[in-house]
Amino acid sequence: MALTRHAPTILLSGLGLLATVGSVRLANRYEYGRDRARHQVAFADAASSVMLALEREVTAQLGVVEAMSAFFRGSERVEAEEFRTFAAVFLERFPGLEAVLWLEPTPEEAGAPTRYGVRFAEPAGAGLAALDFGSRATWRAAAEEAQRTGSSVSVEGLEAAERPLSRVVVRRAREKEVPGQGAREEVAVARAGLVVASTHLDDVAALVLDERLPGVQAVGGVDLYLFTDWSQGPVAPLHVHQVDQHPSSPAPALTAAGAQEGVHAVHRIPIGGASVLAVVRPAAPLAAPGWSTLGVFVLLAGVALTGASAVAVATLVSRTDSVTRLVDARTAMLRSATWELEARERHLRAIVENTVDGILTIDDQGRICTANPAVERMFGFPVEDLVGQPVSVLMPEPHRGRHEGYVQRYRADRASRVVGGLNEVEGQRADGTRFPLELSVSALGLGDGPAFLGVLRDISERKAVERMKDEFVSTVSHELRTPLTSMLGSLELLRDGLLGPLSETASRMVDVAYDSGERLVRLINDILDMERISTGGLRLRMEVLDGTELLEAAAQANRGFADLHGVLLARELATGPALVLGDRDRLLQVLTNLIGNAVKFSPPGGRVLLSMVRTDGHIVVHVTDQGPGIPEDFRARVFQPFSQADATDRRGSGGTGLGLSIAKAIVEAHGGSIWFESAAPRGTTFSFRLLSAEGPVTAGAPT
Amino acid sequence: MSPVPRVLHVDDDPAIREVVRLMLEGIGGMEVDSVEGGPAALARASQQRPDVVLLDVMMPGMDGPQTLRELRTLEGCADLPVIFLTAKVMRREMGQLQQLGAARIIQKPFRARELVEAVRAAVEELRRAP
Repeated sequence: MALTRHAPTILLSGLGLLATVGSVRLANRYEYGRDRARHQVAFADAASSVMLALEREVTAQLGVVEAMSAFFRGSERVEAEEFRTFAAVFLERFPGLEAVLWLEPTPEEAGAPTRYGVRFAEPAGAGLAALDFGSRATWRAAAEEAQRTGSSVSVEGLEAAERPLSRVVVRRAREKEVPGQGAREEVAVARAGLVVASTHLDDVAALVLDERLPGVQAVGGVDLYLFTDWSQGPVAPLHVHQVDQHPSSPAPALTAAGAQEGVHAVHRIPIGGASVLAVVRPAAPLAAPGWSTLGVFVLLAGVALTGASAVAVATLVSRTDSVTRLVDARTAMLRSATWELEARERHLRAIVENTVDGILTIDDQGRICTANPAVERMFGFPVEDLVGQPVSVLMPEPHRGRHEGYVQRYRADRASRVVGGLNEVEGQRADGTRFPLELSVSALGLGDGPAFLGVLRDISERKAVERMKDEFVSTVSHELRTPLTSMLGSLELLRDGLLGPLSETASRMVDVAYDSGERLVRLINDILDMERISTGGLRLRMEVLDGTELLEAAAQANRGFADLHGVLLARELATGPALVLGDRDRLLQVLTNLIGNAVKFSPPGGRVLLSMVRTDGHIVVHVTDQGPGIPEDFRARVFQPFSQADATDRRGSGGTGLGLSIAKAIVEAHGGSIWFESAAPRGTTFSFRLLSAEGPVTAGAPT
Repeated sequence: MSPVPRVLHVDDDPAIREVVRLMLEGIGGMEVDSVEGGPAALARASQQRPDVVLLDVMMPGMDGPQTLRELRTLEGCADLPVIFLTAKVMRREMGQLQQLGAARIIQKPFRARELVEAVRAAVEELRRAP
């Protein structure tokens, strides 16, 4: 794994090193080629200077014969002293000059060869004076040719056998006899004379190379090979020399052909009608290709570049690893989130599919998008058949036929009595039977997709229970009211004297019985109301009512009760319309409860004030008594069912303890509120507020 | 129509029949004929043509609504004022009774004055009818 991760770095490093090695080799070759070219140029310079110096020196030394020939050609005779002096100058001037001779050919007897005896020789004492130049055939031939042609003729030297590079040049100086001016013993007079100069070319070469010629040192010295080419035999080296500085001196012996292989320079040096082949070679060959500066630089640069690249790749790989780890971590998180979402979706699907409520989604055209199994159980349509169908297939007539109109109206103005609320509707099963439904429709607002969510609950059983309860309540009410009717009717007849006069005690007892009977009726009515309120069955018949008239009717209805308690009912009514939207019977029931309480708790001779004001679009009704006020510890329970401030209070004996809680429920069912203000020990005001239907209300004077 | 209103009261409870008769005769000065059930009421109505019928709702055999429907089929009784006397108090039930065409619905228990005034009002309406 780690090897795989580092493979790019290793591969790049290997390739980089290979490229570096290749580049180094190329750089070294380039440097070597450049050095070789420079070396060749330098060698050419060095060789040229060597050749020029050698030719110049050879020409100068052998030029002795020319000079002396020219000198003695114009002289009448050649004297020994003069010759010696002249020759000594040249010998001193040219160290390579071995000897200078003056030959005078002497004719022998007829037919005999000419004798070329040495007349003068310098340096003296070298045994040269007795030398017969004609004793050697090559010399004789040279002397004869020189005498005949008048040109310089070169031939092997005096010590040719020992020193092959010794050369002799012969030149004719005089060609006719000069008549004698008198006998002088010390002056030799010859008819003809030849000048001979002998020299050693290796000495000349040594002189030349010892001059430290320019350029020679720069190429590390040169080897000088001199070959004769005047003989017809094989070319053989005459001389080999090498600069002293060269560690491998002397230079290896080479043939003329071998000397002309490789780097070399050739020059032909003329010597007395012949010539010497001079070959110059570099003493030390150019060093083999090795490390060059450029190569070292390329190596360092290549290694540095390879290292930097490897580091960069390693960093990149490391960063890639980090990114990979990050991606893996994110992938794991996403996978975990996906699992969680899937689990949540399964959870939600399980809820949707197992709930007893039907759940539908509906598009904005009123078509069913999805339906859960409860819908199928509820309506008897397979879910797959419902999808795509208008939701009205689940409705009975007339809603089925009108539903398309509902949908169009909703799309137009977004106004609906169904969307956003809980409604009891009727559904129709696949077999055509109808059943009650509780329907909740919500706008989803998802943009694309379903526009509405509908939750359906089959309330058939609940409705059946409600009907049973209604029947029970109705039956109980009937069974209680029927005997109460005959009982209260009889007592009323007795009380009113229609059945004859009663004694005072009997009359009082009839009143007690009648009041108890009425209390029983009120109790029954209140219990029925409480049952309706607790089950949400309190239905209001809303209509626009005149508050003034409503208050008047309430006062009228309770006037008898107030008179019975010796309490004055006063009214402070609004002038003009004071319209409210409400259920007349239920609002009268609220007023009756409040007025009844106020009367009961007012002292005899006291006053109960009914007033009504309009504020901020509301109608507020006040019922104020002059009673003892509500005890502090009872105020929190005033509107609770079956609550009475003092159960032993005689004035409260006619109440059921339900009136105020029923009044509160009725007012709140109208969207209003009810409250009280009590200034114990005197006076309490109960108030309730209803929404005004229209028109301003102003307070009027008491009547 | 006689100057004294003739009232046919139908109720299966004899005590209530007696109390109602005393109220209407004693206070209202009316003539009251009481029967205990629907069939008897139909027979009496076809014979005597009362001015007003007081009809109990819950009765064994033929109940009040059924009696009313039968009554309307009798000759001369199509517009006969009928006042239901009922111990039912549910609004749904009250609405159903109104749909039957009753002139009044009086809840039990009722006061004598309330009953008498309701009968008188029904008689007056009948007399004013063309």
